[in-house]
Amino acid sequence: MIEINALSLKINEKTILDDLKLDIKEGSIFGFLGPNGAGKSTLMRCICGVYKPTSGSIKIDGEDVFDNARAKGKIFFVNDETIQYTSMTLTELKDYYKNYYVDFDEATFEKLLSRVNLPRDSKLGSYSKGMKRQAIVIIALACKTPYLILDEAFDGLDPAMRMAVKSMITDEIIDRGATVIVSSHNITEISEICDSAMLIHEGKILFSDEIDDITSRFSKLQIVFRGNAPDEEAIRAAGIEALMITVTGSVVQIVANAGEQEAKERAWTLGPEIVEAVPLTLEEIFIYEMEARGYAGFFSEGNA
Amino acid sequence: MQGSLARVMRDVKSERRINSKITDIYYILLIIILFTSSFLSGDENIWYSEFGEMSYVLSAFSYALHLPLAVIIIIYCAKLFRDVHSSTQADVIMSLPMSAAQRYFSKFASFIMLIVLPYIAMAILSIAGILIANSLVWDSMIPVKYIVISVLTRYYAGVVGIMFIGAVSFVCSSFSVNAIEAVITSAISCTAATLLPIFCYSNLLLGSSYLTFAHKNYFVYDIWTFTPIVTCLEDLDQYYFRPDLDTIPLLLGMAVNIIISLLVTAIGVKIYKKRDKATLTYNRISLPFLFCIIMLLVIDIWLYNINTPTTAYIGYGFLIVGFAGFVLLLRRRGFKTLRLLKWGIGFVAAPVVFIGLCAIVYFTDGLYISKAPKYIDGSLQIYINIHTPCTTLPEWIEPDDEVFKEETEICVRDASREDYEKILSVMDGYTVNPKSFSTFLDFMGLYKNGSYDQDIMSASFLEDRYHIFSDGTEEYLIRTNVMKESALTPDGEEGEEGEIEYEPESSTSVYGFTKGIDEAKLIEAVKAINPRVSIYHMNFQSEVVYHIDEDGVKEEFHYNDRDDEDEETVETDEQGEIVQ
Repeated sequence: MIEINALSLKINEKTILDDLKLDIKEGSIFGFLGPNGAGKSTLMRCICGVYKPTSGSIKIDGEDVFDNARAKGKIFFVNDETIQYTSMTLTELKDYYKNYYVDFDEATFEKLLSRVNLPRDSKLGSYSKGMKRQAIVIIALACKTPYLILDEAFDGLDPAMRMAVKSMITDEIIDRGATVIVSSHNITEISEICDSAMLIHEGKILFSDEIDDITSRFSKLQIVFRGNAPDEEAIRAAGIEALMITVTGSVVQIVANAGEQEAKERAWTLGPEIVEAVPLTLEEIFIYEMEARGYAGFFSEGNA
Repeated sequence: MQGSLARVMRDVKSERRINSKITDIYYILLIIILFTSSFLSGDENIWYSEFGEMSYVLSAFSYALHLPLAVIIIIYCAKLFRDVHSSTQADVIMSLPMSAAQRYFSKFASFIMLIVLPYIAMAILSIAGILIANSLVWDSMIPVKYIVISVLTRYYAGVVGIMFIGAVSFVCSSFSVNAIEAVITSAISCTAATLLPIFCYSNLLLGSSYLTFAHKNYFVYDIWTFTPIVTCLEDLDQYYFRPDLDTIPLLLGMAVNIIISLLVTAIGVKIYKKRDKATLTYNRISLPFLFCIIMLLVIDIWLYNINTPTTAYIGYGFLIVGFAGFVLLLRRRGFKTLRLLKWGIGFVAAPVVFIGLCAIVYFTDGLYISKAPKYIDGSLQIYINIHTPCTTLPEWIEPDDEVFKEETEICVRDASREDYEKILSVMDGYTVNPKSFSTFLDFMGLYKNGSYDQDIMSASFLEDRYHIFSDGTEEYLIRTNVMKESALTPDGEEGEEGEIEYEPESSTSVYGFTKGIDEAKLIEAVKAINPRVSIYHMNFQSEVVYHIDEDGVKEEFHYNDRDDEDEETVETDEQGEIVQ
């Protein structure tokens, strides 16, 4: 289990992570979501011992991680770059990591390699970005660490590659019950493979939970009035904490920061003709949450 | 333990793989340089018969050949620390299951296994190469032991040098934010740290000792630009490397130096352990080190120019430039006025402390260290020179030359170290302008105090030493320069292959202005210490020599014709009449 408690990180007097508290359970696939510069990657690096926290603690199975070889031996970190060690061949890179991870499993490496058919004796510099990503993911999985941390692991991959990498991760993780932390801009992707997620913004965690719980805490309603619909102010006055309100003639669409039942009950107090729940995706929740916090920039091409 | 060793070996293997290009270049250079260096460094043994004194240039070149290796080592060390110089590498390496201390030790192990050990192996091979060549090609009579020691001296120095460069580079790479900064700070630190003791010894310590009985030593440094380095290296060579052509002091020296290098390397661990990825973009750890490097460089330049009024301003100029550069550096890192002021005070305090230390050295005549080196055991020839300033100059002398019309040289033959000390005490009695605050300012190049219009007296000595070769030939050693075809044998007779004109440098000299010398009185005082004295009296046209010993005085008259450079020796009888 990864326990993050009162974690803060300051670089050059600037607060990058601010008083974070987060628990990541063993065997879960946990998604880190947030806009660029929110602190996802920095938090991942703190978990891997790359950054030393200014205050607070990060414990892996009860041990502090920074400068602790044993705790770090339980983690494999795949960062968002693919340029490291391009002078090595895949076999050499495998041998390099094999030096450090005692549980490295050659059979797993060979099995995964046979699925993607990467040239093992070509320099990594000659690989495409997707091939490099596949190579490092194969090595990461073969290291058999209980915790695998993937920073923007699917970024820049074509759909086929993305599928191949994703299935390698999920198959392997399901087999041995490891914990995976994935960061991505692509909320759909996260919602597909993750069972838990958190949203981070400006170094603070906005919310964190299992995805089902998150979606159950929000609801999207379509409300139809006889005649003109009430204005936004009147809707909010009814006690609806709305992330988004769209009024079109006699129809109002609301994304509420409340469960479906509660939101419906408050909506009926406005005297509408019809109140019905509309399916709400995780992506919509995060987008509207970010918009509500004045960060429309969260929309990006990766969200598609 | 076994597991740790296996892990370290795996780390070394990984490093070899990652830095394969630079290590390959290093190995190729190692082969070329060490074999070339070995053959050039047999200066006194092999090349002297071929090239004469040119062999010393070849010998110096054999040291200079090591410079490319030094550069490669600095770059290699910087590459070892790629985790604290590159953001991407930081992610990979810092997340590996190793503590900072383990990572640092792995780097050090890689340095030893991939840099130091190959150097030692190649050095041994090259020594074997020169021995084979020496016996098969040159058919030399020189004992193998002497050749081995001569070549080995370079490699002892090489190993010590590599360890030192590695240690300094490890520290500099540990605090630097990128590879370029690491290479630049390492190169500057290695150079500055190497020169500092040389300049301290040669310019400060010896400079202050020279002034025991006066306050000037222009005539040493104004003429020979590189005298500080040469003097120090020569003294080190005599004192330390091969006092009796024996390897034990050398090995001891190497051990001490390597221990110091290891201690310096250990400082790097402390710095390295404080580094995380955040310090790549904002690294305050480096500031005290950058401060020290700038100060070290400034003090080196200051020391080099100390005591030479014509160039003293260069040192002070660099002090100001260094100060401005450091303030600029702090400004770039966003330091506010108060913090700038604190560092500024530090920058001013360092030179003040340095001046204070110089004053201590100056007023204690070089910390009361004896002016005669400790290696003197044998018989000495001590020279006391008394120069009288020119009032009228002959036509062939440029008016600007600082020359002396007349010179008297008192040579004490077969003297001992004790005699030398006593003679210096006698000369102290002739001191003019004893050390004072104003002479100290003069010494520091801050205030011109001297004058050429006084008599100048100097003392120097030569030591007679011999070396016996395997064929039984006794060779005369002047300092450590073994002359295969030496002109002199221990009896003072010409050797079989004589005719070499070689004027050895004296090993230590003292210079100073005097308050007027009663030469007769001085000669009597010297004779009282040691009666075996020769007196040479010279001017531009002539030289008169008196040899004095227990049996009395023998006088020679040498006529020196300046126009045709021919020299004629005229013997005189007891009444001073020329014998035709």
